[in-house]
Amino acid sequence: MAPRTLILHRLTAHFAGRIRQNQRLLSSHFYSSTALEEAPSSSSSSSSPNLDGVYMTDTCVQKMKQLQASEAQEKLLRLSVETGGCSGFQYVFDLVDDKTNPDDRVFEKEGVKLVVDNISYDFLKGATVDYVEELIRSAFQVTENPSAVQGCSCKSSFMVKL
Amino acid sequence: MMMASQFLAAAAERIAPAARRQAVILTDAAASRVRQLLEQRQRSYLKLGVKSRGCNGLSYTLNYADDKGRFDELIEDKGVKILIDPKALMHVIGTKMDFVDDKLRSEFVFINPNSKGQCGCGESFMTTSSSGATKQSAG
Repeated sequence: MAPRTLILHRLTAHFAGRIRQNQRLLSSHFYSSTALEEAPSSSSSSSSPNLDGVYMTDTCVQKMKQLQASEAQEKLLRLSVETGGCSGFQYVFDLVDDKTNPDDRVFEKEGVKLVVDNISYDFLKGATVDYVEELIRSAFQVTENPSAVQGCSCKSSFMVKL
Repeated sequence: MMMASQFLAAAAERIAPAARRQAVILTDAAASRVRQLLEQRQRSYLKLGVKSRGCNGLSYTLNYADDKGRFDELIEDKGVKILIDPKALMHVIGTKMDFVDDKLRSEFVFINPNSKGQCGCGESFMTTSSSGATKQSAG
């Protein structure tokens, strides 16, 4: 009889420990995911240490300030990801008056605002927007995107890392 | 019989230079942009080429040039001079070069009848002759 109860004790202790460990994991995941959800409100300042923002280069900011100078109303640069292009997804830039959806994220640098909708944001975490000037074209481009596999060389279309 | 061949020969003579002149045409917007760039930088020509790159075979290149290479094709349209790299010529015949300028971008756009499929930005394109070229360069 004795050995069986000993085994039983050890088993229950083992399982109790596992249950406690799982609870700890679940609660920490819960806390970390809420921290991520809260992040957008704090990431709107460029000095935030959050690495999942969408960034603008100085050239990009300068170009936006130039565009703003000839506009009566405040303009925001909207970046969205749409399906298409030769590599699956493509970037689309637009000049808008205000964010359209309540869950749009706004990133700001030196007064210049970049708006990204919630769905596109998943493909743009940590990306950098630049304004590139060449002989053949001058345009806004996403020059770095950790979520993307190197897709199109012109950088308007990309493939997502799985 | 002889009249027909004479007629064809005469027609070919008249069409051939026109066909060569039409290799690439420019819109007014493209021509005035080219003129502006050449005057600003005091260069003689813009040279159009292609390179094997991009997601869909080829992409266009544009550079300043001061001298016409021996085998470069000279295009004169609307008062501006464009050189076409000989390697690019067969890929760009019939292309219309345009220039679009809006708040977000200003770029040269190429409307190429030979192009089969384009990248979203329009930069990369494929022609029947290019798919062979890319295979060769990859091999």
